[in-house]
Amino acid sequence: MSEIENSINANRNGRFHNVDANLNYKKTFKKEDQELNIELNTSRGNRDNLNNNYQYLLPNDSLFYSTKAKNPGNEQESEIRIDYTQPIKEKIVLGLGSKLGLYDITSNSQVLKLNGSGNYITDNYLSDNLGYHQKVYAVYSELTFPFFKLFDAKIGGR
Amino acid sequence: MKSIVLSAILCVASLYVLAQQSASSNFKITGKLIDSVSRHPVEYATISIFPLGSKKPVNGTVSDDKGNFVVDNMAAGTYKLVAEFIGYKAHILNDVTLNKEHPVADVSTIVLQSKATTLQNITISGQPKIIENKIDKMVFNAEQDITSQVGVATDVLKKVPQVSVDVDGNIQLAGSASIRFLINGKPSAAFGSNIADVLQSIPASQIKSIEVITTPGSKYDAQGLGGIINIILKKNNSQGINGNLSLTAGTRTENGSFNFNARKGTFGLNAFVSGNKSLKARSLSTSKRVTTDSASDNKISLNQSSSSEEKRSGYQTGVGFDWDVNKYNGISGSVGYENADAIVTE
Repeated sequence: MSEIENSINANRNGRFHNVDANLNYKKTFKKEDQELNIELNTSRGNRDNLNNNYQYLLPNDSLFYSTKAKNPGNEQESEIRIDYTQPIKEKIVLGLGSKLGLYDITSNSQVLKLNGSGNYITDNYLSDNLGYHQKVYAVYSELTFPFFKLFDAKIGGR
Repeated sequence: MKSIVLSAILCVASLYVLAQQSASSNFKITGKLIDSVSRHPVEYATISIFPLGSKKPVNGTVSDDKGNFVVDNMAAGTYKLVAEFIGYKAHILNDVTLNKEHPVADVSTIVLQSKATTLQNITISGQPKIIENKIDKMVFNAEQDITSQVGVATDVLKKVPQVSVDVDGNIQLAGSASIRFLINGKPSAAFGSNIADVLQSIPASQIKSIEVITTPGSKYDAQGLGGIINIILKKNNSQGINGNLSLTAGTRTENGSFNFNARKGTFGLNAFVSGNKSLKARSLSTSKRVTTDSASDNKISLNQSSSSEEKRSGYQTGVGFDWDVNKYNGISGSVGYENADAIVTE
């Protein structure tokens, strides 16, 4: 029976900061439920992860496998939306609105691996890059109305 | 009663004085009305003159801005005088006599006593139901539910149909945990961190109603949401500043937070700082695995023991404002910052 003894050390270190800001403007009118809403939201985040891994062969404590990974990332989110509701008659309400959203996420992971001669070199199989970009443009309208006094109906499209 | 007796005496005394004057064919009654407490004249009070034993007034007048009144063009006889005004007890003088010897009856000063009960404001109000069903949402009127006045937002959410809350304060709506939370219809920066903690920090007494939007209309993004929970707070227009500081200590986690609110006129400002720290915790584990290769009958034994240490910390801070510029325009905004650190060593 062969016996292998080893010891593994690892440390992980993660941190993130995030800043959110929003501004909202609401205008109401003399008519009840007639409303205009303008909303601005933005969020910026920043994260950083470190991940080190060491494996030693016992009893000599010789380092035979090690990786060092660094993964900084960024997130940005911005959104502007305008909503307007207009009551037309009693119980009939028209809603209109639009939205623009921008989302960007980037992440860059670099992994260094111990080679045979005791140096850390970049391991291309373990390292990667991520870029995610999303743009959302939306407009919608919806109409709420009573249906033969039986129930209320709401029809909308986006 | 005492004042009536006193007035009656004064009346008799003045009649006696008037008796010295020359007789006149134009009979009249004069006097003055004052308030019993302030001693100010009572203006525009109604003075009615009834013939004795009759319920139909024969004459009358209104007091002037000094409280004086004159009822003239009277015929001889014995009369009852009634002085009354809104908010005062009616004052009645019986036996005011006019005859050839007493053509002018001066009833002197009449003291009117204000009524102990004054007219109250009349409020006509209708109460909404505790649970209202609308086309796209359900409204839970926490304000109407007397049992929803104590505790925190989490406790109120436990009473809302379709919403379930677990022991850690995590919320599920109709079995789905992906819920978008709004405060007064707006996304709140505070919800970015830990929703369970935020809900613990809103006192139930501040909640007006909770709207559960299970079928969001076209107004909302189609982002695979289980639903939207909108917490509507009571409009707090109380002026001044307030703050609260809370510190929680434990052997595993420490928490602290400070909240500050100020409101002057239609402008409100709020700020908060909160932090938490998980103390260094060590966890140990061992495992032993024996693998047998049946072909060569080789046995491989793997013994592992590990120990890991972990500590975390984080803080959040933010400021916000709201301003009702006038009846129809309102602006609100907020900025928040959040930071978290985690260190794990094995």
